[in-house]
Amino acid sequence: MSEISPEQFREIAARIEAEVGKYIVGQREVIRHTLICLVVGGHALLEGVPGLGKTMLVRTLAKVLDLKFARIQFTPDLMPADIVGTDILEEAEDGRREFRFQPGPVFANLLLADEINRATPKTQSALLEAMQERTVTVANRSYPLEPPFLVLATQNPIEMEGTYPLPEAQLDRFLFKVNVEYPSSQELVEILNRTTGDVEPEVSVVADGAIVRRMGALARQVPVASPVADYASRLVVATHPESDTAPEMVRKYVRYGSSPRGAQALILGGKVRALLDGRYNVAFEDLRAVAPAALRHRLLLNFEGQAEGTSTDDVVMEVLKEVAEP
Amino acid sequence: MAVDYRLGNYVRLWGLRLRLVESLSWGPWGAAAGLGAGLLLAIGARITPLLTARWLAGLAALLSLVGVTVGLAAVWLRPRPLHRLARTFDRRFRLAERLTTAIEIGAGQLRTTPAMTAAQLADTLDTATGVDAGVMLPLRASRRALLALGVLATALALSLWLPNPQEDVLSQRAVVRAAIEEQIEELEAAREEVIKAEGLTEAEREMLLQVLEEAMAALDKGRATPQEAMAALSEAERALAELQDPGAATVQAGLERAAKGMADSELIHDIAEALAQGDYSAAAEALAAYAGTEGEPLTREEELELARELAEAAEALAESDPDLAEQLAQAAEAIERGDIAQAREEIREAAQRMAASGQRVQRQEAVEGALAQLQEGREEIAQAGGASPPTGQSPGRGGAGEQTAQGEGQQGGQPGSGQQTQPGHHEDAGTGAPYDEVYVPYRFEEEGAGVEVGREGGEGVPSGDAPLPAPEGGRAAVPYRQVYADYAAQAGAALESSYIPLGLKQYVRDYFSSLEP
Repeated sequence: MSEISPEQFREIAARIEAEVGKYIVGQREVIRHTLICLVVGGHALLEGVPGLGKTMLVRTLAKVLDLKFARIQFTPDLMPADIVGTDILEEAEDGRREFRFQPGPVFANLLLADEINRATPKTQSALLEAMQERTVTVANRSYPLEPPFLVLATQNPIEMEGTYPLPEAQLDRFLFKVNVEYPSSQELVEILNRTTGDVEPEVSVVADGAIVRRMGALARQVPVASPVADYASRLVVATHPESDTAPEMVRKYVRYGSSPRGAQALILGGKVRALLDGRYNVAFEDLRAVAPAALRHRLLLNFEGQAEGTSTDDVVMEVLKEVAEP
Repeated sequence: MAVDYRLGNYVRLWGLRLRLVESLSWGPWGAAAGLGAGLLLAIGARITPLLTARWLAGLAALLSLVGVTVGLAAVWLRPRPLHRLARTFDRRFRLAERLTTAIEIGAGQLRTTPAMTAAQLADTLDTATGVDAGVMLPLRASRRALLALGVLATALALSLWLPNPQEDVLSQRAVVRAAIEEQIEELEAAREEVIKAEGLTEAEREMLLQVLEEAMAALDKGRATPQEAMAALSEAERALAELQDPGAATVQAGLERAAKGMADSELIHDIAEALAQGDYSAAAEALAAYAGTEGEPLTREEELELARELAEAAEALAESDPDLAEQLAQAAEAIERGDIAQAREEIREAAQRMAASGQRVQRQEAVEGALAQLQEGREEIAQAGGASPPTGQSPGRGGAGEQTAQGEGQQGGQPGSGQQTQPGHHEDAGTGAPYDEVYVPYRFEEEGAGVEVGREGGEGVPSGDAPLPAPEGGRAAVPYRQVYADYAAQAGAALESSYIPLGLKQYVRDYFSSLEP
């Protein structure tokens, strides 16, 4: 596999963003964070009210990257086999019968797990195993998933009745949690123009799975200076209420801080952001830019925090404000 | 792997410029800190007497200089490794940690692929080339530091320019200190005189020297207050007063009278001259010469003239020095009888007696000289300290001719007459029984307004005491000024040397101020 240069990386990324931008109006941060997850092989949890283009984003991304796309609408009656696949009994022409593995929708490069919190924990865990191990085990047989494998799960922050919120351990497996904000008035006008006419935008394929893997390999080569790594560590440590460096808000409202995966997400996200920004090293600013997406779903608020209406985003912003660069 | 030299050069050059820029900031801040300290001192000097305005100005200037030096030393002597400089310039020039990363890669602390290393270095150099250090690190002094410097300098100048009541206190202290130092020198001179003085036994000399040296040491220790200095001198005066010989003045007066009587005689003119000059040893030697057999013998007429002169001298000395008078009278009688051998013997003894009396007088003169010096010093210090000098406290103040011979049971000391009495052993005038005085007001003097104190228990004679010369109206009088000065000095000394809570000291001072005559 031949390597790509940082310039090629930036160019491909820019083209991906541009192509996706043909369908998705605004949401530049969402697109960029999703792209970061895709490049470094992490999964993203998109949270936003219905109709903001989450599904369209993933679908467009799949088109642009010429990746195999699958979508699962999570419902309470969804079974694990509906995701990972199952062995089915088949009769051959000679009359013999045998089990054959019928792959589920998880065998895709881009998997949209729509409204993941509507499925039962058992079903959720089936997907989460695939996300972590990148293999699927059915009837004692393991089936590897073809890289790149990116799960883009969505959650609806409203209509929480009858949902099964993801446990913290499972949330931790998402590299980023991306909040999909409601578009501005101008963006909404643009959305209306694009979606109510008779011309559908055409997107072209910019890259494929192999290129995405090479982009990921290049991103991991980006050096991180010791003060920057130290800053990432400080940020994560400061989210723990028992830490000496924790801000007052963390001590007051946070029950559990981020796991080490949070620091990994900061660095990996920072690396890709640096390359996208035309740099070959991670800066403090990169960490600050990805910190909300990397940490917000890794903090668990206590009762007081929830009662006060504090969001984990508020806590992350407070941590960024209080923790000084080394 | 080493840090790229181009990158190193950039960082070092920027580092040099950074030191220059910081010098323009730290220097004024250091000066401001020094001026701030000077201002605090100036404010302190308005609360308590610390330093004069001139000293404060000099000290503030010195502190500013020290502040500038410390500031510049902190800028130029502080080591700044390359990686720290890189971190600094990443932040200052917004280089997004390019320098730090490149330096760490160059130093081998970070590892990545050669392609990424090269790309990172090229990117860093490209960015560094675009940095205009002249704009990003302008060589101009910190405005806030200059503003602070200006405000502090103005405040300090005002503080030094406005009248400071504590300056008067300092001036007075300086005067007191100068007076004390002058007195130390005077006491040193008195000490030298005591060392040279004749007529003192070794024990007496030692004691005199000890008293003077203790007084000098008390004056010399640190910053003695006027009260302490006066207390030390008073203590020395009391010690010297015990060495006084009240009879010596009488003896001296008798010798002077005898000298006057002999002055007209051609024959014993040399004796008279020596006595008049106070050279008692020479007078004794001249007298002893008449007891010798050397030289031309006297004619009978001359012998008779000598006898007459000796008899007149004996008469003059009869009261002041009865023993010497007796010797001279016997010598005169022997000459008149023609018993020359006996006369020579009597003259020899009279000469020895005259020498002894002379020594007694010289010893008293040495003690009085020292006492006078102490008295003068005390008055000068009191004057310099702005306090009323405790006049008349000197035991030697009354003069030799006015002193009474306490050891002989005579009770002197008319109140207000300037005479003195000495504490010690006494004999009752009526019964001759020995007794110890419990109080002798020996500091009486004519000055000051008298305070009359009525006797308790009506008229009568204190038991065990000799009847005092009848005071007018049956009352004893003590000059108020004298009593006040004495008690004020004691209270002042106690305030300085004893533990008295700070808050209460002012009450004591106010009390004595209210009593000041």
